[in-house]
Amino acid sequence: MTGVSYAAWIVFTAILTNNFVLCKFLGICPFLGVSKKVNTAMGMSVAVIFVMLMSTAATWHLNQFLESKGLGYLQTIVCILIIAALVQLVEIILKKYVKSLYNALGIYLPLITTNCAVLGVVLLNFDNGFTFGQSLLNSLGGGVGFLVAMLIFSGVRSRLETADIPETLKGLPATLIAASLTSVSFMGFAGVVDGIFAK
Amino acid sequence: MADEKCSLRKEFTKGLLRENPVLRLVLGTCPTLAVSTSMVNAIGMGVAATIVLVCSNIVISALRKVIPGKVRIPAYIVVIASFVTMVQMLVKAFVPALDSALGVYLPLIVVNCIILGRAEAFANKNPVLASAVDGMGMGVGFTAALFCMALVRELLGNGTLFDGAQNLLKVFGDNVLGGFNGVTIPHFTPITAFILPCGGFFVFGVLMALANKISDKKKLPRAELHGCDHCPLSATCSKVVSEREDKRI
Amino acid sequence: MKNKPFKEILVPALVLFLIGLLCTALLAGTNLLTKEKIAATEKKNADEAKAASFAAAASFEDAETDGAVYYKALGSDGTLLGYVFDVTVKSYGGDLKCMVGISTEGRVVGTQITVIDDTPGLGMKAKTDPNFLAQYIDKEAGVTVKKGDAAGNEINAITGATITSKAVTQAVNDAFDLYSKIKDGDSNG
Repeated sequence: MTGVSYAAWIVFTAILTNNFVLCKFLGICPFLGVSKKVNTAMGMSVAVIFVMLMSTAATWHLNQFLESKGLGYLQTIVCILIIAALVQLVEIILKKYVKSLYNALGIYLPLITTNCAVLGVVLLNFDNGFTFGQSLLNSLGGGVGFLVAMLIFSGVRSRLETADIPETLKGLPATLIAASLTSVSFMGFAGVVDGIFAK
Repeated sequence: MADEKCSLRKEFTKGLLRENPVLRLVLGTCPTLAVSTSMVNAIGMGVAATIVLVCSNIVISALRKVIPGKVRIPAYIVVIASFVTMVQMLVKAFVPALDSALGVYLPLIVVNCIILGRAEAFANKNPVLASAVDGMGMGVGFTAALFCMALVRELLGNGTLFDGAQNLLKVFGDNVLGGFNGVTIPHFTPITAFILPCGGFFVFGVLMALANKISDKKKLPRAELHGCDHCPLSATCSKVVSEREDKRI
Repeated sequence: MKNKPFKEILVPALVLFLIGLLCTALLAGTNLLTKEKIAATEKKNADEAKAASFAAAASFEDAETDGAVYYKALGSDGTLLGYVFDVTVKSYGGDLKCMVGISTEGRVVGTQITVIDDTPGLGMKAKTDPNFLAQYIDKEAGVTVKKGDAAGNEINAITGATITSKAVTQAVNDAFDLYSKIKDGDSNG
């Protein structure tokens, strides 16, 4: 499995079989908290894709440098600081120069700083020994996977609003059980990816 | 003196039930779902997070008068990330099996909202001892919630209890507790779905329903996610700040 | 008035810098203390996996072919019994690393999984269920996966974890590729 097919494999597994939210449990807070309406879910997800790609681009070379100097143990602290600073910087720039984009995405940016999906994708890229290009593809796949999960789940939740739920299960428990069923649907994708890329 | 002791006990016990970080404050949901597939992993994760929580609470509380308000969040993140990396290195050195089992979730303790949340909500306003006790209580509460999840998931999903216990017990030497390595439930076909991701959401949902039932009985408000309101970072978040300003006007 | 920017900008920056410096120093200290222990633990684990994948060998010798590292398994009298290959393949949850022992007759002696990040209870069974890995013993090059009723050079997939089963099989076959390369090299030289 080389070149294009490997690249496609990275993207598809990140979106479907290893979905960040529903399979790896990263970024659960926004998944449960901001998925009530479809358009907020959309805004949050696009912001996540944007930040994931940006922080991967910013940290990959830096990590390479740290590893070469035997400073691999500073990885976590450096990455989280870079991500936090980057998010703040982008927020300020957007606010000042690209007002329309800021209105659409800006409000979600600070929430993403401590979103474990972002730090998670960066660290997973290092762990898997991906090249720069592969890291970007994996981050893109992870972000799109987040978007897909958010959109599907916000649809599920809007149906939940009108459903007749037992008193005890109302609120968070019902949301979690709905998430469980959404997660079941993603398990089926394992065979699909395997089927497409099987040799 | 007696008063002081009493209040310290209160700080400790509130983390267990009233303000249980997972079941009442809905914080740290990601690790709760991710590592509760085995009881041994759950305990390992809980202990690691508790150590980080207590240490960072102590340091942040000790430095609360030194750290300027403007840069407090980055300062907290630096302190927390350092402790997490230290714990990670120690785990790698002494409990390597736990390191490979927890994988990326070990460094991700950095972004566990419980820790940053307690720093922002408690440690930066209270003296060192109280902060340490608060961290301990919250850590134990987190571990207890993780343990409950893992108990159900491992028992039903894998048909075992404490599977791979030697991975953790190795720290104390070889063959501790007579080489106890977990028990397998005889004549039981595991329901694998419980250790799959969907089972995690399901068990968490049921546990949450139980917590709600108890809350209702005690006339406490139910645990609920209200968008960003519960987020420990809301103080620095421009969205919440601007909303607050809107309300003021 | 002149002091204001100093107090508002420089002091916080300085405090933050000092905290950062202190934390980094602490981390460097911990790293220094644990580095050797971590390296020793990793080496011990690798040695154990090596020994488990080739139980008959008394000692191992590092060797290299085309940039790939492998180990020669030697008997107590120093005769070459076979090879152990450290192979990495892609599985369901990411990288899967395997030690595969192959005898000089071209048959699998043992397989050990060193790194696996698959679903607990499904893919993880590859590592925890000894019956799965035992299937590979005595197999020849070109192992294939079947869902039940495996015969000849086939192995039975783990129920619900076909991808992991295929990944381990891929690792074994990769090891055979390396093995045949070494064999060719040996007979030529």
